[in-house]
Amino acid sequence: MRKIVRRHLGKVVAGAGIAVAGTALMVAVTLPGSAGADETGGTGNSGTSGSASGSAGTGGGGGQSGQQAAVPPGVVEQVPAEGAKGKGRDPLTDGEMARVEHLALSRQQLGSGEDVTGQPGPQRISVDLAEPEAAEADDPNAPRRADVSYYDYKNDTLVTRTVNLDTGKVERTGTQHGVQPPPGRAETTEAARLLIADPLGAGLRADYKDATGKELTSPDQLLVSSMVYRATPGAQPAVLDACGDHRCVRLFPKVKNGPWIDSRSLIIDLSARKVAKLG
Amino acid sequence: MREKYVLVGLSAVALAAGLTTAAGPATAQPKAAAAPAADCSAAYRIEQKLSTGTTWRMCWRYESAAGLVLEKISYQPPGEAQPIKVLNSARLAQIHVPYDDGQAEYQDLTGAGFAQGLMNMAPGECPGGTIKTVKVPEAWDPEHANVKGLCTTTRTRGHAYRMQGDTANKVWQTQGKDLLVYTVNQTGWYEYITEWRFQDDGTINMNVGATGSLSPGDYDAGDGRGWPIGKGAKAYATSHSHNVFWRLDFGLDGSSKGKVEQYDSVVSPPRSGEEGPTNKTTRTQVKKELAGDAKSMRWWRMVSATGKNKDGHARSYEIVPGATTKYPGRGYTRHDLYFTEYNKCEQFASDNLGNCGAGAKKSVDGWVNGQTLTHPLVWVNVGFHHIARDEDQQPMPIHWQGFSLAPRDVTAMNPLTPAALADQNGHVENGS
Repeated sequence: MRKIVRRHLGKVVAGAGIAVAGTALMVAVTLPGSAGADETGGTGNSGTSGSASGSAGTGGGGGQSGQQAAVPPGVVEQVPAEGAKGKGRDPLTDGEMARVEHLALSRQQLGSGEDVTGQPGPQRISVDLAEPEAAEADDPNAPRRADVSYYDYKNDTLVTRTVNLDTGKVERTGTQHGVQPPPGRAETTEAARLLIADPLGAGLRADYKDATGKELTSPDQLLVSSMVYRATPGAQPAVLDACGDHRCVRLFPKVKNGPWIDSRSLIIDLSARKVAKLG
Repeated sequence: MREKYVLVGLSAVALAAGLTTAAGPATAQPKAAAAPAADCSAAYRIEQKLSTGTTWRMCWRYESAAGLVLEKISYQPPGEAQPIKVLNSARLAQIHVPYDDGQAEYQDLTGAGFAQGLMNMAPGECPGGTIKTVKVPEAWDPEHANVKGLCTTTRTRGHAYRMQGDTANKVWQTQGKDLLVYTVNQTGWYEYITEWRFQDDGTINMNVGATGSLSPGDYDAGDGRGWPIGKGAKAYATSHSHNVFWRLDFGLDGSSKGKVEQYDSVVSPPRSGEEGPTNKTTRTQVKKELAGDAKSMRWWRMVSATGKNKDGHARSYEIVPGATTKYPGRGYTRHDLYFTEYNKCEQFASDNLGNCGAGAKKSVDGWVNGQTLTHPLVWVNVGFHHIARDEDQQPMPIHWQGFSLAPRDVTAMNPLTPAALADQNGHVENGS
């Protein structure tokens, strides 16, 4: 791969095959699909036949190919309309999420923490329906609760609060150091912003220009996912030794509607707002 | 006020839902005369009556790190008046991906945004089914935070059974049907298909398939830890493992207080007067937390605390291990299966994110510490060591790993027994 692609970062990942995976992220219509897509010219959009005997891990597809040919494509259901409150084990409604966030943080906490950009208020990570309390495991009328997590960049802590949606009370608070949940989109965007602006981002910028003919100046020119990076003894330059206690990420940038750019050797320490290169 | 709200909501749901799940069998809470609350709204319910007569019901939701979570899973074969509750919850608990060269080790669920990588499915990927749109607030692509990402469909799986009748042209046979529920999640260049397969005979199969692309930056392992997949001795793809963990919270017959049993069979050579070797099976009650190792002639089951089938036998589900390559590199990958006492904060088999308090262990091996099991959680670890091959380009053919849960005495007979054979329980009569 290194030999194939002589680019500034060493690896613009552009081969036709790899682009397939990338394209799928962008445009549903060109998803390569599984078995069915090939039989309809690879558009994937009307792959009606054959799929039924395709990718099963167990069981196989049965011996009724005639029947399978008649299987219609899946019907898409839109996001369900939601009421103000969910029932039972429904996912949290937008209204419940907003309420949870409001309940979880006092005005003082909102002011004292710090988000990924350094603004007041801790960085929201996730809001999920909570697992049942042990004593309520078999109670069909158990109250709905939410777990809301924040990362406070001021002191590198993950704060998780459990909010009872019936009573509005914060029932539990936990503060953890060194626990790094998946980076959210705001954090990923900020990491990309730091990398683009950093001298070590030169390769990324050059690859972007090669791919598009344009300057890379803003994260929104990319589609970026990211992964948590943790330091291990002796495996990285000293400047990254705090990763794990600090919130550090590596990015998987992709030109919108274009190729991936491999930047995995570059680590962004969001807590220190620094970029460094691995060995 | 709150109670009133709940009750009002309830009856409305019960009316709207008609026959659907709501109350389980004889396990409703005794305290109130009112029916228990619905497990979830219709929009989050998956209910499929298969053409062979079995109905599966469950609720779905999508978590920020775990992805798809199926809850309140129940099974109602023909002849059962009520749904039989099986699982409170079933979900992935980690995909751990260590590379053979020691240069990378990913925790795909808790560290690499597996859930955020939920992919839009093309209609052709869900033949004959329904693609539900899933809200993914932190989806990587802000323009696609509503993802057409959850397929539910049915498939034929071939023979459910076959038996020759008494006359030459009579064959008792049924083609089995399955409900399939699956998502596609992209993590890095890999795409994982997480498939849940619910058979009409009560079996549940959980599998994760990896496809997409090999990680392109890895094509340089020239140190005996890779396999050349380009022309000649070029483009060595680094070998790696995918260690997939599932977390199962059983609620057989509506009770979380299931009992775990381990069975081991030992074969001895023939003794005098015996035609062949003997095989003795021993049952061990697993009363305390356990890190279990699969081996030949060993299996486990979860036994219902309350429910019996029509033969008076306690209902249970057997855990049927799948093919695995156990990875000894980490404490949590060293065992095939863990039984731990339920703790709501213990959510991921490694790099756990839950709030378990100061000093709490971060992986499932650390949670096995001698507690008595009153509400056992089951964690299943299935490993796959991927040494790439030329065929892995491009796209990479899907490779699967997983296991099954098989009903054992959930019904008194084969749940698909045809009516004409329904009297053949415990003995076999001639002619039918």
